[in-house]
Amino acid sequence: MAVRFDAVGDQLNRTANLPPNGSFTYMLWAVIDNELAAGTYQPYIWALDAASQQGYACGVINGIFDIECYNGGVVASSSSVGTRPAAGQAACVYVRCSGTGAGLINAGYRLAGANAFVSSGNATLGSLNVMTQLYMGGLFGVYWQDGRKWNIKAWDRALSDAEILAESYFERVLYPASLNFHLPLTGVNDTADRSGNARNPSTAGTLTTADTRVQLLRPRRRVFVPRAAGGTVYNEVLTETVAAGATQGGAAVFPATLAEAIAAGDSLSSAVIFVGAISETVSAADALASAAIFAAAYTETVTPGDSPGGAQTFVAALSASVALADQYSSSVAGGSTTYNETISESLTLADGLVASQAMASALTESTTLGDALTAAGILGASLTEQVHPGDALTPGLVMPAALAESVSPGDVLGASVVFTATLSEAIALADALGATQVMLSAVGESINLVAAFDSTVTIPGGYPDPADVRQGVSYGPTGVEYVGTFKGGKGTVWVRRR
Amino acid sequence: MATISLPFEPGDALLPTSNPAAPVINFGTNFPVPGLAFDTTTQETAFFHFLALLYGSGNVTVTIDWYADTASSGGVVFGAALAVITPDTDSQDIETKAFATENTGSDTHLGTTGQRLHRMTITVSNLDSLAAGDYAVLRLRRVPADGSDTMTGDAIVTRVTVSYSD
Repeated sequence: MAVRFDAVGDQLNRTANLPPNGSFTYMLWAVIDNELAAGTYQPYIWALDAASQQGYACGVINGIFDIECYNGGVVASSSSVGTRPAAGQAACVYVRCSGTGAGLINAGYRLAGANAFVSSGNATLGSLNVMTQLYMGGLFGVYWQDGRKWNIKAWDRALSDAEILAESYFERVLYPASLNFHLPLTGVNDTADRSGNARNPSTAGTLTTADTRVQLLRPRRRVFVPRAAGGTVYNEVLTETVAAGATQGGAAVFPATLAEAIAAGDSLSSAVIFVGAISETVSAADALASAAIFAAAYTETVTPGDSPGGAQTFVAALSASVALADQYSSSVAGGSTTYNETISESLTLADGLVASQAMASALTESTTLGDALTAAGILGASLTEQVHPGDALTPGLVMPAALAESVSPGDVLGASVVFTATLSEAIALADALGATQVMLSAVGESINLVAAFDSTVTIPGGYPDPADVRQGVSYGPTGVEYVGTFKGGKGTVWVRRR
Repeated sequence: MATISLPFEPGDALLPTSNPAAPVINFGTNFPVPGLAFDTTTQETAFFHFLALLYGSGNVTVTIDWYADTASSGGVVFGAALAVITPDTDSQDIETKAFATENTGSDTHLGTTGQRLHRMTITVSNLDSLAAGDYAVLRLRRVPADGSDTMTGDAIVTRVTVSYSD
């Protein structure tokens, strides 16, 4: 920002403690907004003695930039540059006097955007009276500059060319040695001296505030936020937004609960502590990290064929329907699978039973005739089989119960058949008795008269013939024929032959 | 361990009365470019004051962003030196404090574009007993007398960064 001088009589001035003749430097930034009539001197800065007859000025007139020294109210010495800042061009202007007595005074300007000064030669200050008036802006009458000015600096010494160049870039004073005053002129409300010397200018006319159009170098303001050392105690509550993925320093303590949405697939660092329960929907085939802890019961539908991960503990009983021929791995990774429920499988005849299989319940099988019983098969219950004639009984077969078979005439009995009970057979008169048959009991038969007796029929004992053979009895049409020797008992045996 | 970085712009510089690096503001096509121009023949200097906040240990790294005013080849050599005072401990007069031995670094114009921006570093190992909280001054200057400094024209520095470990 800058101070705008837009009318005759607008000025800033000082009337005391001005830089001494023979050794001073002035520097200021200025822009001429409106060119005055040709031939009118437009001063940047003007100094006069008390009588306003001696002094010096730096300004532009027509097409030149110059430095003029006055004595007796007229120009006594001057030096100019054939170029000048045009209207609208911001420029930094200096006026410098070195030496004492017949001091040499020169001036120069640097346009904004240029990096070097264009300087005049020396004018001779001579032995002027002490300056008591210093005008910045207008002077009086027609001598004024319609424009704006800012950052006016004044020293009680002659700065070097290098110092002048450096100072022209900075808003602040780089070389404060012998600083007389520093007027930043950031606006009409800020025309005070910043040098610490309290050499504030006086104001005349009506000044306004305008922009500067030129930015000078100034120090950056920094806010330094150091990292807290470990163990630092903050009495204030620190609020920090923790984002997912943020790396927390080792000793960071969060008084408030960190809330983070956890999504499936998130990678959780090992040092993370969750105050609240983490709930995650676990689906079949989700890969569970080995260190994952589920506070709530993990419910998963286990279907035959699923591969449970090692070391998994199922709070609830896994129920799976076990079908015949299901294969159960005997070595699940990380541990063995335990079934708390009884697996029941219906055994059907001809199921292959693995040698090491334990059956909690008794296997019940109905054995039917024709089943092949393996040698190692253990039958807890009695096998009941009906033995029928003709059944082929394998050797070694133990029949705890007695086989009962009714022997019928004509049955063919095997050679090794043992009859624990007596076979009884009613022998009828015409029965054909096998040669080797043993009759344990006497065969009782009533022999009738017409019975044909073998030749050697021996009739033991008495012949209880119901009818005595007696006289007159006919025994058959032909009577009884006795072939052979007929022996009768005592008595009389009558034999009559017809 | 963290790295503390203190960036300095041209406006942060303090300049000597003799042979200061020349402040410049070049109004580029789209924006002005402030810098400190270091001459190719005269050794010119700039100073940057800082507080060695949280300095822990190790060397100080000075990173210099620069571009050539007119050249498109050649080498530049810059020197960096520290002057460090521990308040309340050092009895050294601050206005007569001397710099520790300068450390130098060099860079070479990469060519292709004359005013392209380069970056080089200087490892400052002469730390003048730097400690956390010390008052420190960095002196930066071009060393035209070094045989490796062959680039013609000014080397314009746009930023200086001082870095160290906490």
